[in-house]
Amino acid sequence: MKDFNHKHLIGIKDLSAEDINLVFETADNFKEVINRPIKKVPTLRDTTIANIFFENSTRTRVSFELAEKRLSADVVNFSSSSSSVSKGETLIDTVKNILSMKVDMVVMRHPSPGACVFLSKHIDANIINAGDGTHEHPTQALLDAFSIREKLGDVKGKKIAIVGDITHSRVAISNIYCLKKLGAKVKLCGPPTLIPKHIESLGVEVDYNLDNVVKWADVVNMLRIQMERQDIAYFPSLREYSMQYGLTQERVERSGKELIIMHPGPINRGVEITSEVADSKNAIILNQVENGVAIRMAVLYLLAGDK
Amino acid sequence: MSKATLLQGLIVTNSKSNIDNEKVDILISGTEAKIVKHNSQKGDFEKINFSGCFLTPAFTDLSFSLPDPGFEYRENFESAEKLALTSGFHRLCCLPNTEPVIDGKSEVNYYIKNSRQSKIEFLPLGAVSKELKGEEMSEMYDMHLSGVKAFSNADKAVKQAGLLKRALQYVQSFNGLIVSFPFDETVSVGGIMHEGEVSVSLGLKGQPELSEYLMVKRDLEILRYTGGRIHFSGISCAESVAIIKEAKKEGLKVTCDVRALNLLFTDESLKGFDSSYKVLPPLRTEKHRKALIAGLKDGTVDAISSGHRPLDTEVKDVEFIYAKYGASTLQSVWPMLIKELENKLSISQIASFLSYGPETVLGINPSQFEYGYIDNFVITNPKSDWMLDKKSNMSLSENSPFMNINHNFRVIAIFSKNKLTFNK
Repeated sequence: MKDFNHKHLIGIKDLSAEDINLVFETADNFKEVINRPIKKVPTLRDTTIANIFFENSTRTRVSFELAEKRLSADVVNFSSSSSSVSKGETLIDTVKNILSMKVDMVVMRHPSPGACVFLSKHIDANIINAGDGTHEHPTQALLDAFSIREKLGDVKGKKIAIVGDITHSRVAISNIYCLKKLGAKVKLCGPPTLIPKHIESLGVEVDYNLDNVVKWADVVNMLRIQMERQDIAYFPSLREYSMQYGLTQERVERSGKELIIMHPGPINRGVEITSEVADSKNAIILNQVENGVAIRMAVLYLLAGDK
Repeated sequence: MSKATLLQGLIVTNSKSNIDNEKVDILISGTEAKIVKHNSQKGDFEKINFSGCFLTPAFTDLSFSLPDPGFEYRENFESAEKLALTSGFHRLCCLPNTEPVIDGKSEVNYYIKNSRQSKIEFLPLGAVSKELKGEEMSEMYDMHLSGVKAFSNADKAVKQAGLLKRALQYVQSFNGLIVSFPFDETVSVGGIMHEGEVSVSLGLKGQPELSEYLMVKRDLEILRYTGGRIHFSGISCAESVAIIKEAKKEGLKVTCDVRALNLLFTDESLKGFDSSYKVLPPLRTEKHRKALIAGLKDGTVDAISSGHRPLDTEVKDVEFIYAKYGASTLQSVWPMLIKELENKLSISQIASFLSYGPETVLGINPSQFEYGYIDNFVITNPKSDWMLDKKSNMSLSENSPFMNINHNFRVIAIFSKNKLTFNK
């Protein structure tokens, strides 16, 4: 078997295309496992994993916990509201607690970009980044690309559009790294105030017109508007945002093609995407959720094997 | 009476001196020192051989944070004195953002009193506005009478154009200098590093060059209207250099300095989310670093400042976005600049940007370097072997990006306020 020579999964930036494909191949196996009548395997028995969430999360936390439990790991959950970590002391204290608990792996979500890098300098356990501020969300990108691969057979050469608030999106950054490494063409679309200058340096194109982008794309990944991360108003109103960047059935039909529609969740129905589109046959939003468990099992398995 | 001391074999390293590069001796009798020709003195002296060591003026820092009162555990007068002597500085211009703010005579006098008792000079920068709130002008005349030479808003721009206009006008009756930190925060809301490819790759919001040169332009327009003098502290981008170059050509009374860190590092240093490099102005790209060096060479940039900002671990060794801006730098400024810039600037030029440059900005008579006279100096051994670590660090704070870097150049003695101090 090929090696996954990483101690942590902090960002897709650190992975090679081979690494990503190895995660996919491993996830293929786990996807088969989780569709069996008995979904549990003993792979991570005697491994203790701490899920530490300093930001609210339902989907990602549950997905990780399910993945860990299906691998028979011992799981401890720790969550704290972001307000109590605003000065940063809690992370240091948490680090010390983790060291005392002798956990083997840490899954962490934190509002500060680079928080997992910070953690990796202080503790010895394997670290999986479950989202660090506006930096990266690697498992989301892996499950997104895995879902595209599942639907279209391959990611290479496919045209993927990422639409919405790019500036405040860790999903966008990780997706860009992942898709580019796998050979996809990536176009970003959103209000110019929410697309970082210099983003083209990551090898992507930018188009501010959603209709153009929808016509171009094979897959459209609609990002959630991150109102909680916006320190000032980047657009006048949600209404106006929807008018320009909301994905409606009419827009999809105007493209005249079988568009695949993705969303990392949770959805602001009626803002970035209408219910009609989100629940349509073209949407693979729930496949993404299911694949999330398989991808996270694969990542946990591969990192545990590093020991 | 004790014997006179003869320091022998020093090489003059001062591009502003007529005897640059000459080998000289220094004769110290009591509190007086003078440069004499090498091996010209006969008599009964205590002789010390400094053959091969560099003789430079003692340095002046235009931007030093001495958070006393308020945060004395980060740096205080005692630690700052030791730090300065070890680093070759005999004069520190201290920012007014203490608690309470240096915005009146009594706070200034606290500095002046401490300065009198010290082996070095602490020169407080007065706050432009009361409590640095950016609303009303502080009593700048009274502070001037107490010894303040320049007025600053610390590491923040004077937001209100009208306030800057009035301040530039007001200080002209006593030839005061206004120091501006050009940084428009509204242009880079949420930004915590230079806006560019690195910030994009880290998912961090950026501080574009625009946030700086927009303020440089604004301030120069105001200066053009008011007259008077302005000094830009810590410019960091190529555009600012170009704009200031033009303004100088036009004859406006403008000077500027660049922080040592901006000459030594780029935004690439931030790739690992290392908060030691989280500073203001931000570390920008190689293009900007080169433009700053070119600005020094062509006379646009007048001085190099340390930008010394001592901070405790509790506010610095935390997640990147929560870490405060600033680095403890003073002790490594001189050896690091020599190490990194030697191919671009001569050692004499670097010494001059740390002495003659800041003195000229402040309107202080530059150190005289001629036979028969010398009022302050630093002796640097170029063949030393040391590094900044917990033991050798003289600052009370450890937030230095220069930790564990090896150096050959080391300040071994300094003559300040008529006293010779040797570094152990």
